[in-house]
Amino acid sequence: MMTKTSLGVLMLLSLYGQSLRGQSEYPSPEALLLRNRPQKTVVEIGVRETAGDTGVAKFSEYRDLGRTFIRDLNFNSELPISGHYFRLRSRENSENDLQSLATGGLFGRYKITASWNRLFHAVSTSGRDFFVRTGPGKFLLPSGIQALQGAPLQNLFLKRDSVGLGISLTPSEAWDLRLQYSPERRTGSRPGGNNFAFTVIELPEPLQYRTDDLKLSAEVAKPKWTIQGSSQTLSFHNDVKGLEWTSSFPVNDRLVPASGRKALPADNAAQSFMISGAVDLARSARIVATVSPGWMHQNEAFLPFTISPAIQGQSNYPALPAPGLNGNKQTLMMNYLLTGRVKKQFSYSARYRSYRLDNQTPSLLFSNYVAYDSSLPVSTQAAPRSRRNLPYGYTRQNANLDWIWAPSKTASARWFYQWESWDRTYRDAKRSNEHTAGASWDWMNQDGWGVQALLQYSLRRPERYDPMYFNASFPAGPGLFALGQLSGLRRFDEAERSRNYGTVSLQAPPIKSIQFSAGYIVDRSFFHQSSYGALYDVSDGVSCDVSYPVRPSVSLFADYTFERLRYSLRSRQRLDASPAEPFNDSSNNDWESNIRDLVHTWGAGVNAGFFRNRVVLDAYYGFSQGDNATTTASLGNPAAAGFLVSTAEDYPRLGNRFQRLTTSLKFPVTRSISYRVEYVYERYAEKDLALERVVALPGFTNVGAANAGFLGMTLPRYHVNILSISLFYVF
Amino acid sequence: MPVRRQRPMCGCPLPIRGGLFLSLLLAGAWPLRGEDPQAIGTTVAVTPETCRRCHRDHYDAWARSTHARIDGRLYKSPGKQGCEACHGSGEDHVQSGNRALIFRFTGNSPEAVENACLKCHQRGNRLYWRGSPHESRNITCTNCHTLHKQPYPVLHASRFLEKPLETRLLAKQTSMEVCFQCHLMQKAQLQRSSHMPLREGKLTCVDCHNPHGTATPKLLRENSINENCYRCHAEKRGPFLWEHPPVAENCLNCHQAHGSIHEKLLKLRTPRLCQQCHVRGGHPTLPQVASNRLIYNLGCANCHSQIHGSNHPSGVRFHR
Repeated sequence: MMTKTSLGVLMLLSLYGQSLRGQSEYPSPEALLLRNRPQKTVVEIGVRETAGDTGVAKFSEYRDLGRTFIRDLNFNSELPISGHYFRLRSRENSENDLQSLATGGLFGRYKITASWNRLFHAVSTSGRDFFVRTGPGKFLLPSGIQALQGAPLQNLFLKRDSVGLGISLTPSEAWDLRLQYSPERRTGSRPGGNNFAFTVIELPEPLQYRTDDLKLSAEVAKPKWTIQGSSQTLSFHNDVKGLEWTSSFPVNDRLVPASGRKALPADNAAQSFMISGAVDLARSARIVATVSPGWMHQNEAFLPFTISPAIQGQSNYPALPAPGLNGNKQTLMMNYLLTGRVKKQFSYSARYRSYRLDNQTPSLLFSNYVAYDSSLPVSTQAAPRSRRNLPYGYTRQNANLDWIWAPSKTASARWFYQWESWDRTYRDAKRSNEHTAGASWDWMNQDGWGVQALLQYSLRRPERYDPMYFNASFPAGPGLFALGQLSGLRRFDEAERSRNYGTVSLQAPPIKSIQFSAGYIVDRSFFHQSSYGALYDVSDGVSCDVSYPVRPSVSLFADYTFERLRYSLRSRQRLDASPAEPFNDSSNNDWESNIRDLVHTWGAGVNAGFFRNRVVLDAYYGFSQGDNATTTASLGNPAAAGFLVSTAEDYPRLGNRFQRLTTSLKFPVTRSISYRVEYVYERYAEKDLALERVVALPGFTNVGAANAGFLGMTLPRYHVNILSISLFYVF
Repeated sequence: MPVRRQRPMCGCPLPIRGGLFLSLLLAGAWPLRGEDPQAIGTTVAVTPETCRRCHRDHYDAWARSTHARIDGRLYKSPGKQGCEACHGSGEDHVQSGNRALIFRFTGNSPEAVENACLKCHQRGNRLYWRGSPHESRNITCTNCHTLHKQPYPVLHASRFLEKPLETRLLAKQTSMEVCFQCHLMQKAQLQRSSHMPLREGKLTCVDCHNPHGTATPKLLRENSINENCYRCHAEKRGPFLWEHPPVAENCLNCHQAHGSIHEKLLKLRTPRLCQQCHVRGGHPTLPQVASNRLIYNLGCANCHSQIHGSNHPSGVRFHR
């Protein structure tokens, strides 16, 4: 029991202490920095040895492993008195694979950042190319070459070099100003298909892109309100405007001309502004609003209809309706959000969002267009050859209402309603509305029990779906002999759809330190009014995660995820009419395809630290396995007259497997030097009928009645061992 | 998906037994304290050095952070400096040692925690935090960020690499590990054969998403899904002379952004992907045998290679 005397002494001490605190000065920033050293500077350099199929493109898909490397460079420097600092972080530096970020400035006042990243993306190392390049994007076939044998190997890869420069200023507590400039250069080539009607030639499409991104932003933030404004300018430039190639096939009919040309991505530019504001109102209410107008522009000069001088010389060769598209899309994004609290336990939020893409691109009429660089057909009523581009646009609107009840500190329930509307131009469904209602429950107590659940149901309905709209809007029409659109088709992105979506996850409290969590997700979309096209799109999956801390610094963990995706579509084999025979559009030629993907992902490992985490062991094994099955069947009677569906068959099962075993051990030698030894085993296997056929039929080949020439990329399959030893130096 | 809460960060021993009694007396005389540290008010600053006497580890962690480095430079009012910037006035707590008399992040409601952080951070990327999907699911700042706890020193070997980022006081060593605490399905999808370079450390979740809330659905950084994709794929921005409407509207009509077992992040393989919509006549309506050249290699894109849009006057079928 406390006596009256001791209580009095304590009160006096309290008053004395309070008076002392009142007189004490708050430590200056410089004093704080002097007392607290900056983070240590670390350098990790090493050597690496690889064995196995390292030449396979899949292995180098997004990396370029050099024999020597700087795995990590983390340099920190501070001037405590002035408050200036400089930091440099860099990792995995090799010729084609580097990432660096430097920041510097004055704490709380300004910051300058500079980054340099290089991304290497190998596409193929096994393709062979028999063309001779006569200029950027120009491919000439030497006479007499019709097979891949002897053709040089052609590595296909992309490389992105991006630089970022940024300055941010904080002149006062309220103001924040930023400037960011990021140019990027993309070079390399990727496989691209080219064709004359049904003859195919695959070529390495050159990429010589440059993009620039300049962003300016300013913000004023006061305790009760905030205003942000920004401007962003983007541009894209392609050095190669078109791809030209000579025909590799005998020029024996009008569909196989001597040469062809296609347009490569055109230069474009975009500009956007954004202004956002937020204000705090009474009763914890807050309003946030954003308005962001933008423009996208493209006016690259059109290439001629054809590269063929013979066709260009014809008297009825059409003139281009304009020298360029002068394409212009205007976007406007608006977002308004109101959040607040009614009582302590109840809160709400209401949001309205709109994104409008107003396509103001001119609609041009191209008469007598030349489809395949081959001939100049004359437009007739039976076979119209005029086409008009359609400026597609849309407006997407969303409104959400959320009502949240938090009965305790650890639990909350939410009920919500969402409305989404699409207004489209030049599409089958001019307008559709989707209504979603749902609820969620989130609870987690201090013992570690937790349940999170979400369930929602959506129904999307187009106000009027006109499957024939495309024909009507395409000015020249499909022609007398063409069937036009199948009336029962409903495109999945516009069709009526009911959707069930739900997730539930459970977290159990540690049992003898073992932590366990599991989750289930289901997403089921059904297109009830679609007789043809996508019928349903269903996926579900489970995941679980367990960890067992054997000791505070030793932890075992494992996880497993399974996902199943199923799609179904129905179609009809249709035969256009010809002058010789009528069309065949019988429902007896309907066919249906069911596609199923199963994906399993396992992982298990250990993280362990010994001797106060100076020795660290990290091991992990991960395995991902994906399988695809596509079954297809005719729905008609083969015995009936006019039955066409003779090619409905199940495809061979496809699949891929990726395994990775990693073991890493870091141990100290001296106080500032540590070694790290790492062993990685990777294995990737794929079964893909699409590429197997290419392997079986490399180069120019004759499949059926038509010719095809491919680069001959082989299956991306590899297994590789990687051993690396690196040295940490801590300054 | 489960959210791992931070464990209690500290315990505060009572300096003297009488302090509790005194603090109760003082607490009774003073206005009732709320959970919100803003409501506590600050009259006399308790310096970080004061807190250091009992909370050495927490002080050290704070002193290593950017919080300590901008302390007194940017925010100069007493309530926004030192430990009191986050924990509210520490005067009563110092006098009494009673942990109930100072704002603590553990055991408090998500709203109270975020109120403490948003005093300074309700700006920039956090403008849309209130009302965001994460906030409405009871997620709060300390589920992803921590100041006083160093993440476990994993060597990055077993998990995803991450490109160099500025330190964000994350509860895990990398930002992706923070996201994967709950988003296990996305974590698994990144392991698939067709994926964006996240597991190689060239991209992170936050390159496309702003987890603090945005004006766009799915917490996307840009104004629409397509504008998000155009940041890296600017050649597909257009406008094109011949546009493919589902492409111009939503890249995700055909692509699975987080990973797929099909090439080029496609949801389905061609030709089935295309045959969901193209039943107009001719070869797109045939089921096609597996040995047909329309199936292998690039599938439909063997010929229709400009499927994202063409600017060629003869490119109406996206083959020029």
